[in-house]
Amino acid sequence: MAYVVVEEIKAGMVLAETLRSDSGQVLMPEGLELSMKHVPLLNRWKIKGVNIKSDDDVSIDDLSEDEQEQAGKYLLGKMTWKPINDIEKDMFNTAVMHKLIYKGK
Amino acid sequence: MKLINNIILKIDEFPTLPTVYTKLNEVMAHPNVSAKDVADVVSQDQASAAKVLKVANSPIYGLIGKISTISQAVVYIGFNEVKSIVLALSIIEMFKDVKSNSLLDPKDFWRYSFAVGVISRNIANRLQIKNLEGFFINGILHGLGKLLFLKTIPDIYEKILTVSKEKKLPVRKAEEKVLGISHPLAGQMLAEKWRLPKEIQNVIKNLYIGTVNDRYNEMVGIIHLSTIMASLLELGSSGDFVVPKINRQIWNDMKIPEDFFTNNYQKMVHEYQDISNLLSS
Repeated sequence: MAYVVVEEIKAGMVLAETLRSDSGQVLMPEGLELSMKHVPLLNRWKIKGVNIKSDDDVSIDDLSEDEQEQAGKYLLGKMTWKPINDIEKDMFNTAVMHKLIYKGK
Repeated sequence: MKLINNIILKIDEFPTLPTVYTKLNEVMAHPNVSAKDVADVVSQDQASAAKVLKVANSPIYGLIGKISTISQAVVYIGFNEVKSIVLALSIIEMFKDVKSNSLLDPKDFWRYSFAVGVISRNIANRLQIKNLEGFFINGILHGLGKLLFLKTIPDIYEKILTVSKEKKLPVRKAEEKVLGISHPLAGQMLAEKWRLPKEIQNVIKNLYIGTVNDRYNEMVGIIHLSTIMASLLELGSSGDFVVPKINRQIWNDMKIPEDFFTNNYQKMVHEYQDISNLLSS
């Protein structure tokens, strides 16, 4: 996944995220192949950039459970609290994913 | 305690902010201030004006490459934001001589601070807060107290960080034990001496508490959460080996979508890397 500002979008790029309006309505689904006709729409929605799929993408599902568990344990070892609600779990899972994707970088 | 008196004295004796910032304050106190007035002051120092433009054109403001003059920066990102950028650049400059110790490199501390600024601005943006001014820069400057300690009492501070690491104690607790004062309060005292806006003093002082006088405060709450997220992501280094606790009171008022971080963290990392490269040089 790579973040691309709207000005640099090229035809054929594939969305790596679902774009939603502030009310939660789907504007463009994940996996949509972008063409130049989408750019004015993004501008109208005041979206400045989007996440695009790339060849070296790693998603949390591609990572082995072992790796995820290890990264999770490591993080919990530094924390004096445990995630209890959805947003805290999202924070924690994002950190696990980040740890695995960016390891050694 | 002798050390606490020593710290208070060092805050007292700490250099004042550069004249460009005080001049900006004077100019902006006028009710009829124009973008050109601000531009005139900032442009007196060509080097810092060039840096202000770089920051204003960084992805965080979403205006990449569109701003070519300080006047435009004022129009697009706001009077106060331009003043805040000048403030941040001045403070970065003032702490340039801080030396690395065995546990914390000030460059890493700045990187962590930039991450906090980037995450704060992104959260505020997602929450559709009308006035986004301040979230980025106050996020960057929240750790002023730690910088103050690193600069004024480097040897003692290295010991404090060691104690914190060995005993798995939050750094501010170790500071209280050794110094009798912790960095949020010391940082706020320095901010007060510099007459920085009340808003940033609130952030510096209440960072770990997450609220102000037990009430929800948008700016403090969001920056509080952002410091925790930056620590979890290990972007740069806060000097703390413990990820701080969330004040869960904030969830009553802060309605972040439950997939916000998953969906936005690549964008935030991108902005973080960009701003770190820009301001670390």
